[in-house]
Amino acid sequence: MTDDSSASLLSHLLVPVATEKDARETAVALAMYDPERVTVVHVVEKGGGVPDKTPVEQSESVAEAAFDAFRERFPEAETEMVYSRDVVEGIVDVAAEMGASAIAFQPRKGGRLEQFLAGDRTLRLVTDADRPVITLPGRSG
Amino acid sequence: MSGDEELAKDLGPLAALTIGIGTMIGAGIFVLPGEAITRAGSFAIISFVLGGGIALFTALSASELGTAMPRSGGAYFYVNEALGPLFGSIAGWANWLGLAFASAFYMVGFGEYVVAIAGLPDGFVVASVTVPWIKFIGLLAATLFVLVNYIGAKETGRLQNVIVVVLVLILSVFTVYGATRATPANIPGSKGLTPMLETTGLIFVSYLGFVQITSVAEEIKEPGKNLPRAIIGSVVIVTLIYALVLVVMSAAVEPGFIQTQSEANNIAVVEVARLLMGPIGAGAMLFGGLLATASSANASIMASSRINFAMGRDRIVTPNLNEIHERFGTPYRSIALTGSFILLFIVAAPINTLASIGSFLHLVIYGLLNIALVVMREADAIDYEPSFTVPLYPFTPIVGGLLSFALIYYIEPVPRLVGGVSCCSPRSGISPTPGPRPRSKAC
Repeated sequence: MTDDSSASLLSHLLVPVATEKDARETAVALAMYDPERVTVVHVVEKGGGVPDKTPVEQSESVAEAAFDAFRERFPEAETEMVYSRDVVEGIVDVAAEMGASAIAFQPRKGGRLEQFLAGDRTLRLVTDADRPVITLPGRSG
Repeated sequence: MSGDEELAKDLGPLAALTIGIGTMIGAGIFVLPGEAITRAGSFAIISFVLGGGIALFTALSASELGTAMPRSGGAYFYVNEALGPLFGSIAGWANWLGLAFASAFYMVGFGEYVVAIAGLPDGFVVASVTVPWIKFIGLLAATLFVLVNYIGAKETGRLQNVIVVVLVLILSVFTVYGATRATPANIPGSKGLTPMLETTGLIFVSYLGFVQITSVAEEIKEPGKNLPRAIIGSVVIVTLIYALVLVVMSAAVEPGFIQTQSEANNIAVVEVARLLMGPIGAGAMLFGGLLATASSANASIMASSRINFAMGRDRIVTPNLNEIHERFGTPYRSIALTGSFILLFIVAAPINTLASIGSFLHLVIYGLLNIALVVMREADAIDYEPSFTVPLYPFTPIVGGLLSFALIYYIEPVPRLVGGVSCCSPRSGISPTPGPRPRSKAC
């Protein structure tokens, strides 16, 4: 439906969030642009045949907390929880499934070392996505 | 939603099995056989089989409880549900600290292997204090594995499966080759029943891994089928491997060889392999020892953060302990705290004490697990519907519980004392908050 090329970039945004803090900050950054429709997604990183970093139950409660924080600004936001071996892949897949007009997110700050250890997801999301990716400014750090 | 639930369960039967085998195989076979044979003579074989037998009874109980309550936290959770918060706290602390003691033991074992490979002297002197190389390397290695878990490198998990397969291969070759050289005349005499039972207490640290499978129960595909298979299968497989390796070690070399090697501070299993298969055999065993102790410690550090999560859920520890790292997505505080326990224990105690305390704390949990099963059955709870049930109930859990508690009696007094203090005292410091326990019942 929103794959129509004339549709506004902000007609249906997919917003990936990680934690409660991240979700709250992202929502603040996004609010001023007044998107038409927002779906917030939390991707649980699966081990893919090995145990996860966190118990499923904890991952789910982290997702719930993040959704609640996001809804403080966007009470109407739809939510989606996805399990994927690869967070970036999970985001891109969901965006395609729901036909999002764009993916909007707030890149995380972090030292070189942290970025190296955790992998540069910002770069991967920007290069792997098959639709516009909007980076939101204003990360307080 | 049920489709998503299925996606959350991505551990296949083999992955579940290797968590158990990977945690157990490290200690048992690569560190303790020399000590065990020195202490118990030929009865060391019986010690390992007896240990496996005790573990098997509890494995059956753990399987039933696991299929009835596939919740994060494993043993701690079942005991807490069945016996209430007092015993729940004991089980939680015993499981957590038991894993930390066991990890410290694995890491000192890792240090022994590195020292043997590098041919390092006993120690080095810093500011007129002699630092033993084995412990120094144990500390470095522990720090490394804690860091790996702290940043949550996914690769380590995948590596774990490879490591387990390589270990089983190395030990199979050793056993088959050794069997061709074995003669019954070589088997040393026994040293009687009491040393045998004391040895079982020491080596029981080799059977700690299977309960960790329950701590990831909610991630296992078709848990009703795969959980019992993984738990029981891993105990049976490692018991078999331990017994065969012990038979080979006793029968393929002359009597007294093991004792001489142990007294010379050599690693018995490596020296036997060197004698039988030359430098290649020794090399393979050294390599295997490194892999085994590393994988045991790595799996234990992961499992302890699961236990912390369940304890935090019930407010036995502060839930803040389980906060997730913004970027790494790991429960970093829990991992860091477990890591500092491990480092402390490495510094504080000799290797056999670490093994004994690890055994003691786990025997406490195993005993409680068996009682928990009986309570759940007798209480006839409505939502208690295990898809696997222990055979010969109530015989199995009663014998399992009695054997677990009885073996505690044979663990050397000092570790028993320290173990008792460490699992019972911290509770007084952190009082469980009464009140509503936030618990989302699985629907």
